[in-house]
Amino acid sequence: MASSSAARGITARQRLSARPPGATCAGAERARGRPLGFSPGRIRSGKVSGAGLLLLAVLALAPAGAAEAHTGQRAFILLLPTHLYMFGGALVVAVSFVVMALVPMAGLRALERVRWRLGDAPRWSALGPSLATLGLALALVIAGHLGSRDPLANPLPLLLWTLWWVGFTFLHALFGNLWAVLNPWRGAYRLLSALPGLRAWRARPPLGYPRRLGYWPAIVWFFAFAWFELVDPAPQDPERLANALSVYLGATLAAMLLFGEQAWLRHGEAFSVFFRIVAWLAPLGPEPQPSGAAAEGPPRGLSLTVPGMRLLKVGALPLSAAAFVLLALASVSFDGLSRTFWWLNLVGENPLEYPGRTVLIGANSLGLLGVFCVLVAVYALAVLLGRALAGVGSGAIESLGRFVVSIVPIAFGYHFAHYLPTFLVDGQYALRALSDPYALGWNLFGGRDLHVTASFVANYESVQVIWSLQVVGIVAAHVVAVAVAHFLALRETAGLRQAVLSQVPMTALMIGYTLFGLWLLATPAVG
Amino acid sequence: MSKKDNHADATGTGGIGVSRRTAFKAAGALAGAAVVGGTGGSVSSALSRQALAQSMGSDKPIRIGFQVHRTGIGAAYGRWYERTTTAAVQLINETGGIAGRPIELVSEDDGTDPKRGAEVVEKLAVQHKVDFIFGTLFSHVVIGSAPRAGELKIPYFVVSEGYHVASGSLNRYVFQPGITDVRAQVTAISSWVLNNLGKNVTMIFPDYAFGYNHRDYFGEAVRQRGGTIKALLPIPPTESSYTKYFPRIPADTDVLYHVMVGPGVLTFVKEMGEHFGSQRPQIFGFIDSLEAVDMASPGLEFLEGTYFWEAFPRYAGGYPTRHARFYRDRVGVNDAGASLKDPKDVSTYSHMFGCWETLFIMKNAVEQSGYRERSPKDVAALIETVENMQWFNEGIEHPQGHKKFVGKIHQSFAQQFISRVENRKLSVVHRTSIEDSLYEPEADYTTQAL
Repeated sequence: MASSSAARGITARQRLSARPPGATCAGAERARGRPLGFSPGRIRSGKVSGAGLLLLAVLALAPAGAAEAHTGQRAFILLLPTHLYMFGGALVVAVSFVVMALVPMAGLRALERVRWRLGDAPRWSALGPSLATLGLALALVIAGHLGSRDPLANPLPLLLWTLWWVGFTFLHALFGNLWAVLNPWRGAYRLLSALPGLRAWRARPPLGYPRRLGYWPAIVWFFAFAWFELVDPAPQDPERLANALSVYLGATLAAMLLFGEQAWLRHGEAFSVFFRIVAWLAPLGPEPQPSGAAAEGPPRGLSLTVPGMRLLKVGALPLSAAAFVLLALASVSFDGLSRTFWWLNLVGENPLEYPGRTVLIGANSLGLLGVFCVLVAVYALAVLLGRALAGVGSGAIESLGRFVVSIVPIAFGYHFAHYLPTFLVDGQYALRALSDPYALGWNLFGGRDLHVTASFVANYESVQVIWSLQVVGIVAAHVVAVAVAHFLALRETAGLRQAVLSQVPMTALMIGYTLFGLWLLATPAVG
Repeated sequence: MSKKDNHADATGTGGIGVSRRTAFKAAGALAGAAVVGGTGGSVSSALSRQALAQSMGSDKPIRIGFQVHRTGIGAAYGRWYERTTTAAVQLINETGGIAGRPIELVSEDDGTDPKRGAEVVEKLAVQHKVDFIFGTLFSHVVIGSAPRAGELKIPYFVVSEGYHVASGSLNRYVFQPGITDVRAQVTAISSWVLNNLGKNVTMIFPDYAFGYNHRDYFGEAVRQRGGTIKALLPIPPTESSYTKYFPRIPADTDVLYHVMVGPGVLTFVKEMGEHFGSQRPQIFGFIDSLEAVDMASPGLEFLEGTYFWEAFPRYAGGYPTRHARFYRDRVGVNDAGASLKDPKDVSTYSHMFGCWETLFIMKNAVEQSGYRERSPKDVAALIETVENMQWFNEGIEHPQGHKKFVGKIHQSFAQQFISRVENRKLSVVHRTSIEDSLYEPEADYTTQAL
């Protein structure tokens, strides 16, 4: 038990001896070895705020400790024959294209007839649910400023990034556009625009929303959101997030007052646009309306349909809306890409010594923008090439706006597959944080001492299960996408043969994206 | 003893009711440890120190900033660092706190990001006004954060295992007293490896700083002790398949020394097994490769009969002392090194003890130096007190073992463990002495101005 006897002998020695000689102000001369090429002079000058390049050089040369890259979940996935899954997934998508090629318009009609009316939706008050959400948002802002600094104990980052951005999105694909009812602004807008000075603004907003702007404000805000999530060094910092949330709440409300509630929510509010799009996937939703007119306000007649059928009722989107859909897919794609060893190698970083987000701000900003641009280009190419193959003459812009709805299932499939593991872990932290949101020692829901288990992402059997779910998610999403694109093509072209031809490039794109999505989940990655 | 509120950070712990019996029992244990050894060689016992502190009268909490990798690539370690820290803070507060003052832990997430680390240091020091900051693990974060701590003149206790502290490249405010560094670890195990496994060594390591540490220090030790490095095989960090490297291992290799890290580790072991089959050299690795990973995981079958360095044996049978048992129970780890609440949640057992021990060292530093608040005078007294510490005696405060603290380089040296994989578990076969791990100090922080 006791090691060296010398240790025991020391105990009697006087501990507080005199200061060692020479402990005066640091002299210029210091006999000190230079370890491993590391330049102590730079650190001695002490300025961490020096050029990022300098810090990078220092870090690159610095001696490292032993606790570096952690083995993690990806280690188990690397043991799986992932290339077989990838091949199989691509094959399934290709086969689904062939199968669809045999399905004529009559098949579409049959699917459309699969509808189960559920009666009228309850008339939601425009005030109640919305004000409740606003109250929650404000309570979370307060928690962000006053609660625990720990992003895994503070309810704000957990509710926003996990329960809302991931979980709530999942709910939209099942239950339709909940955000239309639950967004935090409708109630506040109703209250504010009932005030004497602002009443006129409700009928006639002071600023007309410029038609030409289209969905570009939503695109800009969504890009900013994606940048904050993926590139900003500390999106989970409670205080930082509270500030960002406050800014967004305020700016959106102001824009609604200035441009009109519907105009802004339809075109400028990033999440109203996003959730409306995801809701097109849901089996539950409003009674299908004539093509081109999307649901406004709370739904009335509700029905259950085959999931994704509502996509076919959307019609041709404006180009800016199409760009928004592609941005949604691009951002979740880049989330995965930015963590891969491939990407880190590309930007000149050592993935085993991940330098932290700060150093990568420039590269990742360009990467996010780049993936968006590449996706837009590839999508446009697929559509236009398909039109050329099928000999479709006019309406290129319409085609671009029409087929983009087939990308929606893919975007959702990525969202599901990509966020699944963190949702399962951080969801537990969220439940725990809800019991003590302000770190005052409360235990509101009895979950304060919940033991958060993350072991299922570090355990072979459960990792296999999660991987399988991810594969199914990605592949199923692409199969739905192929089907949707096929039916859209049937509408646009003269006959079955032409429709199939026009979809060859798009299907190639989707097969490619299946492979890409599975590769993102299988390739070595950090974190 | 008056009841002290537990001000530990609310990461699922909140206020903890303390029965007087538990408090006395724990205090007795601490006092016992103090009487037997006296941390830092002090002649006063824990109880009399408390009496002295209480007579000094401050009931204001001691605020300790915990720079934790809550998110980012260090999150798995950060989770266990947080659990261990919480357990230690709880114990200290149950037994009267630091100089009669309760610890208030303020945690900030640095995202395992060096620049963010520097911001966190500033936030903790300036905004939260903590007395000390501790807990940083990943080397590059330590290196990015330490200068700011030096500028702000706040004591910064890291639990990092990196040689950067002892190398002298940081500043006088930075200490690493609760965990040993990789140079000492490598030096310590070298004799045993050469004497027991063989003199001809081939090293396989990732081609960057972490790998170079092992290459350089182990290489140096091998040469000093009459061994031979047969081959050095650096592997590019982006590599995920290693099959092509194994044929480069010379046939007359006695020992294969491996320190692979990252997601490719399981693949590495599997492919190593496929290459060697049953005819393999002796194999020696570092548990860093497999912290928080179950030794019985698929892909690790080939490790049977191979050896690993451990700082603190994951399996309870490896070091069955009373203090190690007490520590294991308090942190909430079972005999297989996994969470008591979730047996599949394997801990980072060879690293997290550093948090526990460092907190007790900080406690003793405060009590022995008479530190009361973060004034230049008190901080200087604290730093000089720590620099004059020479031994941390094994006990509840230091369950991993005795530590020799070298004030000049702000670094401790301790015993290291060598374990063998037997029946998919780790069994300790050797404990090195502190002397085995010593190297000549290459720096002297004590001559720097504060």
